[in-house]
Amino acid sequence: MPERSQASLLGLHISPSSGIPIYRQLMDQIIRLVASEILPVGSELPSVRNLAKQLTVNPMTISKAYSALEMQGVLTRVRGKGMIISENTSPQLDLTQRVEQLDNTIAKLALEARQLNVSKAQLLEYLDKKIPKN
Amino acid sequence: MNEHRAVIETKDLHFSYQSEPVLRGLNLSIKPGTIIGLLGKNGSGKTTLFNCLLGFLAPQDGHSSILGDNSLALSANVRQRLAFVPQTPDLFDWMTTSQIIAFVSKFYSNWNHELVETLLSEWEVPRKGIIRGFSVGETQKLAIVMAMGHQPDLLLMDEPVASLDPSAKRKFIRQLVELNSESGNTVLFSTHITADIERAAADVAIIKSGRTYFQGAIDDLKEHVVKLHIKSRKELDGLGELLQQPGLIACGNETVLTLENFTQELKSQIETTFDADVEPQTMGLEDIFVELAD
Repeated sequence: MPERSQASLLGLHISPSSGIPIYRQLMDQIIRLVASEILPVGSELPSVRNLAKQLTVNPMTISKAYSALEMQGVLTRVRGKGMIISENTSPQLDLTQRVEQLDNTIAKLALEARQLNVSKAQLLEYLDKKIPKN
Repeated sequence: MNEHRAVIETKDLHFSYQSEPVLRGLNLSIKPGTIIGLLGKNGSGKTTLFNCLLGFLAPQDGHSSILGDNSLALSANVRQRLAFVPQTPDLFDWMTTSQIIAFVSKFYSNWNHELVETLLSEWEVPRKGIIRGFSVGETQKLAIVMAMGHQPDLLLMDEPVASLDPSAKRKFIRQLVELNSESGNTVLFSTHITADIERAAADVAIIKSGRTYFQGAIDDLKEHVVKLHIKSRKELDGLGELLQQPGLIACGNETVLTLENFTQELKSQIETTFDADVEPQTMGLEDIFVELAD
């Protein structure tokens, strides 16, 4: 597959005016793609240069996201291939790291609940109902 | 080029118009390969800074250099590797696009005719008629293409997108990213449209009262400048001392404030001290700018 189309194929997108740093937005999306196995183990990510062009984002921002994911063990740098999805990715993400992925969503939920004058207890009760038991 | 040497460097730069100080000890150091946006309110000294960097204005105090040369004595070599697009480009307006390109290209040994032709077509710069008849936006597009023609190592632009329509703006930003990822050039551009900066630039310098208020990654800025919503079970007096902001007066059990140096530790500190729920809310660059620039 030609590399130029990879970013759009993966559905990577960024929203520059959001408060969330662009590199974080990319990290979150790649992690989700890995978790859902849309990006299976061993698959290659677009090069920094290509993704930068595709998303019209500074190449350094892409590098930053890739490096951070490499540190977390999600990506491995392979000579000649660039970044690929590491083997055994999910066990390397401990609970704290996985919860971290939900951080922004939780913060937003908490804020909106407060604006709607929904108490903590009420919110937790609804959450409990929403989430299927195991 | 030396990888670690700053491409742009100013040290304690002072400049006043008559008795009106504009730059008051401005420090800036920009590494090669950076695309950096220069933000500041009207009259904060952005244009004056460009004029000092290029040696058009001599500072009363301090020092500035670009590509290793003192701004007041730029060598022919540095001039070849440099391009500047002023806020209001002053082109020979009796020429046509082809004539001015033919004229300017003669000054550079490495003029990229192919790139220039492509950009002129993509950006829909008029080929017919003389420049005097162009709109402000058309003239600005032509000036930017001319500045990119010799693929400069350093590209300086004062408000390059001010009169571009959204589609031209997007094409311009795409081109900046493309040139930067291919040649690793350095770009400094001023703007007050913050959304432009966020795509193209990884870094930002905020000028306030003639000094560099912040220089660094936009991502770092977004992680450290947040809006805190605090709801506590203990009275919030004393919050100012905890945050080391003596001017901050908080009372009651609920407050919303913007912090410039947010950390998770600070969050837990507030939570324990005041038995509080603390919700940090991230902010877009535009909101951050409004908070910081005042």
